[in-house]
Parts: sequence; C-alpha cells; structure tokens
Amino acid sequence: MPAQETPEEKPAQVTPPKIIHFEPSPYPPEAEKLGLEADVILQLDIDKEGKVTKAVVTQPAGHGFDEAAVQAAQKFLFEPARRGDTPIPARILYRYGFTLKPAEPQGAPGGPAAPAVPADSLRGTVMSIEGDVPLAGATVDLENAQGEHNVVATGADGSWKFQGLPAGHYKVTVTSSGFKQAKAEEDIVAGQVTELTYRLSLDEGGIEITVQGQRPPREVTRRTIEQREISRIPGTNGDALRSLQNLPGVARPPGLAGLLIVRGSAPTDTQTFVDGVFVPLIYHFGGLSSVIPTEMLEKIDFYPGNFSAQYGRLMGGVVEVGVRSPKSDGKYHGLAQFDLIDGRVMLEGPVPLLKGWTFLVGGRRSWIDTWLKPILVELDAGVTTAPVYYDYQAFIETKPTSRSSFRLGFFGSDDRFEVLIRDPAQQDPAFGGNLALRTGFYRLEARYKNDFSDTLKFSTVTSYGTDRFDFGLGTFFFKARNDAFFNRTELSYRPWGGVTFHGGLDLALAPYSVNIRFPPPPRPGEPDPGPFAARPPVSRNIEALAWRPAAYVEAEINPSARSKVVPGLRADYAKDTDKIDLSPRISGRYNIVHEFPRTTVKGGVGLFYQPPQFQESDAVFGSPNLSSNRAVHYSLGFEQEITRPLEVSVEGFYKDMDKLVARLPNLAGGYDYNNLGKGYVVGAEVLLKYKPDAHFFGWLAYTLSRSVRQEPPDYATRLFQYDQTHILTVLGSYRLGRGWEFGARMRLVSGPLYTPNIFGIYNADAGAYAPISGSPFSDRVPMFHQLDLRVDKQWKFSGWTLRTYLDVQNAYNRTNPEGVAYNYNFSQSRIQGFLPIIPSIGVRGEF
Amino acid sequence: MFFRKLATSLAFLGGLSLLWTACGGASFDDPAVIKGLRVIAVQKSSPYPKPGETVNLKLLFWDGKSTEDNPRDLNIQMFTGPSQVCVNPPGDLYFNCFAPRDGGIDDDIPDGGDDGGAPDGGTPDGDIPEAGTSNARRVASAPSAVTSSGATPGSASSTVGFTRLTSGGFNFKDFALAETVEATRVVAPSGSHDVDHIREATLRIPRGTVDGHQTPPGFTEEQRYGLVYVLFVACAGTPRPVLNAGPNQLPFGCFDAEGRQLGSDDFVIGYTSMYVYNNRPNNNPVIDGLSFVTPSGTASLDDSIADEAAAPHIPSCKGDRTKCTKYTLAPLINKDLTDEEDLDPTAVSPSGKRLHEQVWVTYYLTAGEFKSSVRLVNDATQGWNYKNEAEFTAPGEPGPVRFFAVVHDNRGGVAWVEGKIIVD
Repeated sequence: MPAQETPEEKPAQVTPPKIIHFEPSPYPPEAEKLGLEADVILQLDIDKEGKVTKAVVTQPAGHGFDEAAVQAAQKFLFEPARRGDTPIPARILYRYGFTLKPAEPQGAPGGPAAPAVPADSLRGTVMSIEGDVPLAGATVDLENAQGEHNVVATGADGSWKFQGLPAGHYKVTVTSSGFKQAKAEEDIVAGQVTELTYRLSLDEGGIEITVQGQRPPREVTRRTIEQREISRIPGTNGDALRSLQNLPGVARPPGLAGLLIVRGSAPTDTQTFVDGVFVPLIYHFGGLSSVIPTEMLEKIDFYPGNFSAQYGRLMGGVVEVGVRSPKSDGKYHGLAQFDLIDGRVMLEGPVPLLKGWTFLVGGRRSWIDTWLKPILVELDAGVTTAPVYYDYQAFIETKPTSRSSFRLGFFGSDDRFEVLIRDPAQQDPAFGGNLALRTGFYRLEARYKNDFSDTLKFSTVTSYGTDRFDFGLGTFFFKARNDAFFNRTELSYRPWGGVTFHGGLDLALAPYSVNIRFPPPPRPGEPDPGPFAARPPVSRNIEALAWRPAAYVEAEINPSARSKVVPGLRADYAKDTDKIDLSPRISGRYNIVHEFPRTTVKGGVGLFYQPPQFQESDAVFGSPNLSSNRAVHYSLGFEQEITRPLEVSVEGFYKDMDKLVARLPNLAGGYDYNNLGKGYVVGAEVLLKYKPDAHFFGWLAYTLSRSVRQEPPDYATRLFQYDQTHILTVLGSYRLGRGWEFGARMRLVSGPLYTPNIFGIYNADAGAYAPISGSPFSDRVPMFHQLDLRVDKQWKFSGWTLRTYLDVQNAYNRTNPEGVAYNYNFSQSRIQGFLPIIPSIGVRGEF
Repeated sequence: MFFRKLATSLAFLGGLSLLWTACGGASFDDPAVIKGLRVIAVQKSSPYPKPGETVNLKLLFWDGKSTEDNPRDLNIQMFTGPSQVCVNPPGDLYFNCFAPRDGGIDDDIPDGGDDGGAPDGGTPDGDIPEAGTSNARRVASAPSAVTSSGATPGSASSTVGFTRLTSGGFNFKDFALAETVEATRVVAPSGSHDVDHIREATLRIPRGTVDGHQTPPGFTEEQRYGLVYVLFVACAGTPRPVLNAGPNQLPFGCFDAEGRQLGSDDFVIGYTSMYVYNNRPNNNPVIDGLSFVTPSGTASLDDSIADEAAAPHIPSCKGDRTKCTKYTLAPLINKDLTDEEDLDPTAVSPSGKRLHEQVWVTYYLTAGEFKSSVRLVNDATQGWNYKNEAEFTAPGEPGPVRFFAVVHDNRGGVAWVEGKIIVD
C-alpha cells in the first residue's frame, strides 16, 4: 500500500530532475501504417549535468516504438536532481507516449484571461516503490462525496496537485501504466494543504505478496518480499509458501517435505492461518505444493517468534496467509498453468447480475498419478488409487460501503493414494500390505470488515469446516475427523494520535473423533521397541470436544515518530486441561537514525503457551492434570539501510521452554504423561537484502542456532531432533531483457541429526531385527549443499501474456545425504541420500 | 490442530520408510542369503497361551559357515526357566526386562515390592504378583537344560543380566557368564546329509500372568492380557563377559578358541514374546508343502531334506545373471487354516469390517538369490494375496542349496517349511 507522509515526518531534501528539453520522436512507420499507439516505459539514468547517460526500456511496446523512444530520450536534457543544493545523478522512470490523435488545444486563442490560480488543497508526488523513482505521466483521480471526479497528471518529477477544492472526504485513485493501481481516502481540511506521496508497485498480474520475516506485532518490523520475488525464486516452482523456507530462522526440512521448522521448534509448534482461520495442512502430500495457489494470495505474514497477542496456542511460529480480493475493474481475468506436477486454472471478475459483487474461483489437480502409476505397477504394487491431490477455492466479495467489505469463501484440499505393497519391507514386514492415505480439509468462511471511522475499526471472520486424516497400513489404522468452528474478532480504537488499542476474541470449538489401532510410538531416545509387525496394536476410539476460547488486548504506542512500543496480554482457556494461561508480551522498535540511511533497533519478550496433544490430555488414555507447554521468547536486533535498495537486518533470539509434555511407560502397557520436559533454543539471524529494482532482486540469509531438550526422568540434556546449526541461503534473479529472466539459489545447511544404531537384537515374532540405539540424536549427517536454477521467458500480447519456465532443483546433481541406512541386522551402515536433479517445466497464460 | 503431531509423524514415517526401503538396501548384503550363524524363526506351540499352560518352543537356526566336513561348535540357548522369563515389563517393552544387577553370578533375585523390583523366582509358577505392581523379572540365573535330537546338551551354568535403560542409551553393567560353557557341537546324524538346526525348550506360563498385568484403560475382561518375553542367544563359540564394555555395548560377547570376539555373523541375541490371554485362541499358520517350479514343471520339495535323491537338479548361473533361468519357490500355505478372521474381536476397521490377520512369508537360502525375499500372503483389508511366491536365480557355483520359507502372522504365529535343490 502507498505510504503517506504525515506532518510529523520530514522527508529528505531531495529535488527530482526536471525536463528542460524534450526531444520529439518520429512516429515509427510500421506502427503508423498499422494505426497503432503505445506507451513505452523507459528507465533513464541522468548525470549531474542533466544529461541522459543511459535509456533502458522496462515496458516494451514493440513495432518500433521502443527504439524510437530510446533514441529520442537519449537527447533529453534535464535540470539535474539535487540533494539540497548539490546536483546528484538520478534514475527515473519516464513514460514516452505515441499517439496518433492530435493534442487537445490548451486554450482558445483570444479567450478570456486565465483566472487567478487558487491555493493548493492537496498535492504530492507519485513514485515507484522500487528505488523511489518519480513516475511521470501518472494520473491522480479525486472523487468527492457526490461522485464528481477531478483528474490531474503527474509531471516529469512525479508531482501533482489539486487547487481550490472544498473541505471534505475524497477518494483517491492513482494509476500509472505498468504499475498497480493504488487507492486511498483523504480528508481536505479548509485552510490547510495536505502533502502526500504515493508509491506504486509494478503490475505483475495484480498480486502483491508480502512476506514478513521476523515481524513483531502490528508492523513494528516489516520485511517485504514482492510477488515478483515469490514467483521467481529458483527451486520453489513459484510456490509462495515454499519461499518461506528461504527466510532466516527457517530450517531446511528433509527431502521434499513441506515442514516449517522455525527457530529450532518442532513443525507442529508452528501453525498456518488463512484469513485468520486455522488450517491443518498447508502442503499437499507433505511438501509438493501449497494448498492455496500463489496467485490468490494478497500477503503472507511470517512471524518466527515474539508474535502478537492475536495468536496463541503455539510456541513456534505463525504463518498468516491473506487471500486477496477479486479485481474490481469490471473485467474478467483468468489464468491457466500447467507443469509436470499439476495444472491449475483461475477466473475472477464481476458477478453477473449481482451489482457490486465480484468473484474469484480456482482449482488445481495433480497428475502425478498418470506417470507414477505405471512405475508402481512395475514395482509389483497393486495400485488402487495412484497419488493425486486437488485443491479448490471460491470467493465472492462486496463492499456495502466505502469503508466496509464482506466476503464469503469456500476452500479446501484433498490428497489421497492407496497401494497394495506385495513386497513388505525386510526390516519391518509391517510396512507392507494395503497402504492408504487420505488427508483433507475444507473451510466455509464469512469475513466482515468495517472502518467505522479513522479511529474505530472492526473485523470478524468466522469459519466452519472439517479436517480429516485417514491412514491405514495392514491391520493398523488411524482415522481422525475434526469438525471445527473458528472465530476471530477484533476491535481497534485510536483515542488520540500515537496510541491505538486492540481487543479481540479467538475462539476454537471442535468436536473430534479418533479411531486408532497402532502400536504406541517410542519416546525420543529410548530403544526401538521392535518391529511394528510384532507389536500388538493399541485400539482406541475417542470422541470428545475441544473448546479453546481466548481473548486478548494490545496497544500500539508511538511515543514519537521514531519509536513504537506494543504491549499485549492474551488469556487462553483449554477444556482438556481446564486451565487458563495468561501470556503477557511486549515488543518495540526505535529509529536511532530516522532518515536515510535509517538505523533501527528492535526487540521483544513474551510468554507463549501450547496445549497438550489430544492423546496426552485425554481423560481416559492420557493423563489428567496436564498443563500446557510453555516458552518465553526473547529477541533483540537492528536494521540498517546501506543504500536505497540494500538493507541488512540482524537479530538474536532465545527461547526458554519448560513444562514440556513428556511421558513414561506405565504398567498397563501405555504411557503416563507429565510436564517435566525442558529445553531452550538460542541463535542469531542475518538478512542482507537487495530490494527489487528493474533488473535484479536477491538476498543472503544466514541463521546460526542451537536447540536443546531434556526429557524426564533421567535423560541428559541433548540436541533436539530438529536442530540445524548453520542455515545459509543466497539467491538472486536478474532480468536480461526481452522477457528473459535468470535466477539461482545456493543453499548450505547443516545435516539433520540422527540417532545411531549400535547393534541389532532379533525379534523372532517379526523375523526382523530391532535396533539398539546410541545416544539420541547424537550424530549428524554431513552438510547439505545444493544449487537451484531457474529461467523464465515471457511474451506479451494484446490482452494476455504467455510465460514458460524451467526450474531445476539440484543443478549439479549432488546426492545430498538425508539419513543413515542400515543392513538387516544393523551391523553395517552408510549415509544415504535419494534426491537427484529435478527439472520442472511449466507454461502459463493469463489475461 | 489436535492430532497433527501424531498424524504428521505417522504419514511421514510411512512414506519415508517406504522410500528408504526402496532405495536403501541395494548395496548391502542380501539378508535372505545365510552366510553366518542365523536364528531364522521361533515357533510357539500356542502363540496365545493361557495362564498355567505349558508351551513348547522350537528355535530354527542355520550356520552358513558350518559344512558337513567342518561343523562349528555352536552354543544355542533359550532362557525359559521360571526365574529367567520376563513377565509383564513396564510399557510392555522388552528392554524394560533388563533390571539392575546386584553383582556376581547366581545372585538371588530380589523380592517384588514397592520399588517395583522382580518377584521371587524358584517355583515353576513363579509368584503371583499383586495387581498393579511391577513384576518384571530379571533374566538372572542358569538356563534350563535344553535338548535336541542329535546334539550334545550344553552345560547349565551360565548367567545373564543387564542393567536398566539409562539416559544416553542402552547401558549394560556387571554382566557375567560362567567362564566355561560347554558348546553344543552341531553334528549330522550318521547316515544323513542333514544337520541339526532346531532347538526345543518348554516353558510354563506363570498362572498370575494376566492378573498381574494392569488393565489398560477401556479394556474389557475378555481383552485383558499378560505378556511374557523369552530371551535367546546363538553363539558360534563361547559366550564370555566383555571387560570394560562401553555404555552402549553388550557386556558379553561370543569368542572363538583363540579368544577373539566374534561379530554379528557368528553371534545372535534375540527374544520372542507371548501374549497370554485367559481365553483367546490363536493358531500358527499351516503349511502343507513346498513347491519348486522349473521350466519343465513343478516339483515338490517335501522329501528333499530327508532324501537328497528327491532334490531337483538345476544348472548353475554363470555370466549375465539377468539372462539365467528364473525359478519359483512357493510354500503351500493352507488358506483356510491360516486366515484367522474371527479370532481377534478387536480387529475391526473404522467402517466396522472385520480385519484379517496380516500374514507374510520370509524366504531364506544358502546360495543364489531371490528377487524379493519378503512377500505378502494375507492383507488385513484386501485379503489373500496369491502372488506370494519367490523368484529364484541359481548361484554360479555348484552344490546343494537349502531353502527356508517362514510364514508369520501379526499375532505371533509362525510356521516354516524347508527344502533343498542341487545346483549342477
């Protein structure tokens, strides 16, 4: 969204360049013959003397327009940009228009004298968000309460103004060719001039994805990754949620798994919300692709820790995905994309016969089954259902007033496969027979937002849906169903400038049933209890109700323009523990240097609770009187702007955990649970980021961390299963011109931990050996490193675009170690890897 | 939200294990080929015995390094004495059988009591522990004499003991064995080309086994059970203590005549378990024979062990093994007597359908190779799998090849059949 300068914030004294000599270009003969008109967007480098040293086409038009515009622009002369009184070089975007229509006369000759120029009412500048470059030729449309419009165009320096307007409330729409339209609402006060700056982002199909790494509550800290970055990061196949794994603080999961391992926490300690609604799965089959397509996203907020009191019931991180609104330009838009894994379609636009309503629908289906089924059959597996996944989304939205919006949505996901394995695994014959998996969920949601005034805002989202998880292997099965109702409601009030209060409810009500027949899993660190094949299953049928309401209050306090403090308090109740957990939290940031190059320090501390799993607190099969797991998060860091596009962020973090749920075997063949587990995570993250400009984006992210646990009664402190000491990611993408773009990503990551097996003890019932292990998670697989490459080519046609891409994971085909394999009696071992080079080709068309 | 941890783990474990299995074992020795001393199977006469019932155990072993001209001395022992079996360990976990020793050989087993120690041994029935007490017994005194046709009985003066599991791994301490244990030489009965490869023992299930196991929550009276573990060892030498064994090592090992410790090809330690019910039957699978399919027809291997003249002859496979003739080995598993659908009342799918017993067959051989050595016989939901045979490729060297087909069900039932062919 465009930033607005308030009277309290004084911008730097920079004067943009002003054109003093415009060079007209001859009309391209081919275009004139065809009757074509066009705008060519140029990026001009202007030196200290006002001469154009370089002109590059950023938005081509073809048909000779580009070459003509470049030739003419190279002869422009400018009054150079100045910082204070000092001329400085500058780079601007310039729209060179070619029109066959004659220009409108500026005024009738001999007409009456121009009236006196009234005082400015509203004025400002329009710039590109990339590098703060002034946009010439943009239009600023002002609409009053009566629906009357006033339109002006920006000058070469991006400036605009409205004069002599009456006081009142106005809607502002800023449009510039090749950029995403911006909308705002402003108040004109009699006798005052309001200065505003609007920053527009490049239009890449209407999606702006914001991924915020380490974002303390209420935008105290914000890290933005744009849609262009999301869809171009090599190795992610353009998947927005997979791009999260490139941020500092996020560990690399094994293989292709889509686990989010955030700051040394278990994957189940991090939750994902879509429009504020909890979803149980964010990846198909644990990591192939996200359940919500990237094109539907408005933003992804990622909080690796110390997050707002809005969120609770977890100790790890939060991923908040926002589905965007359908485009409201009155036109229909859509896309279709196909690659080796799946195909997707999407359509949006106005709802026919329903004025004021817009819709956005989409769907996706995989076709792994078409090429995997023959492979499985060749391996003598009886294939009942080859692996297949679907996801589907449908939203309709309206704006009852200019300050309110209402949306109804329905979305969901379904993954399934079923095979008969006729050759059970030698090391455990239980891994054989009929293997069936089906996971899925759906949500029906209603969302309402209303900004009653500039000081009072309200939002609520309610959803109902079903989660299901069915897993079967031979005589073992796990079948769970969860009919969930969620509500998140918040009221925000700003009684005076610099202070905003937020209060809200976060409700979760879920009747659930679990039908399970499985041997109980071993505790971390204890010997393998033996092959599944020989272990009698435990049968359980549980039906219960989970009721977890929560309430919170939070304040955003700006003691000055340089600082922000956000204290909050959250109260959570869980029916299964019958306890109330209070979570106080506070975070803040302060600009030591307020203007460019800005220096900001930031930090926070807070208490976080996570209730036990259902089987741990179940009244019959778990243990009574359990409490929630608890963690205290500490973080401290700084951000430093180096150049306009280059910024570095460093943050240290520490998580102190106690009351972790642990278990001991009991005499009834099950487990007794307690809250005697402890642990901590300590580390630091660095992000050096080059913000996207016309050609390049990229960053370097590094995390150093240590994650430790101690489980009772007499276990020594040990490294946690998901500890990953070093995580280094370097990536970048460069636009070569003519629609070509090339990107690369290099990762260097500590290998995962594993528990070494010392020898095998023979289980005669299964006919297989059970390993006797060494110290839990005491060994580490060698380091992982991988290079991913990506090449994109785009063609623009009249009214639609076509794009193809080649995304190659593991470009130098290294068999990265993922774990250790053993022979049948655990007397021999070797480091094992299995992912080779993986190329993926895709084609996409959109209009 | 409420079951993600377990669900995620199950799915990830299942998927990764399958992938690992498919990719992980290619370069290791084929587990189906018996090259050293192996325990192949243990059969109980009653897989689900009742309290007080006497159970006969048969242990099938084979030594790939013993030859008719040069048999090795083997020590094969099953610890079935009343003070040696492990009854109702905490969590039903086998490693919780291993309780701390108080030191020395032939120590008294401490009384059961508040500290959860083992009850007294000595009587055939053992103590009947009070309900709710831990009654794990230590494997701590001499094994009973074992007999086997054609074998020289071993000495009965060895002692086994382990410490309880401690943090940081499986820690054994103070293990001690008698200095000398007379080995059991495996010899062939005169006039036969066969060798002794089965050990037998008997065990009487303590009467209080079911009553002594704490009832799991939600279990009915009919579902109540007890659990007995029996430990066994097989050593191609002499079992002796290992001095200065580390925390993750067994405190005893198997040593040759020169005093060198032998590895996993010559030493096996293992266990078998019996779930004890007051009244729940469970039968072993039933195998009616063993067939061997060649291009010229199907031969029965039923008599091939007792009479080598009845063993089929096939050519050896030299050169490109993919071009050699493939043969099929198939046990004749009696479907009607093996598929026990109605005997476990808890085996019901989420849709209410009765589950079958999961049955599989594991093949072993002394030379050559199988394409797949573990085959599904009966799936819990999909039923009988008739494609459970093993595809065999002959070795490159001539000589006899012995096959074993061991059929397991998932409730402790075991049966096996053997056969022999001659490679020319």
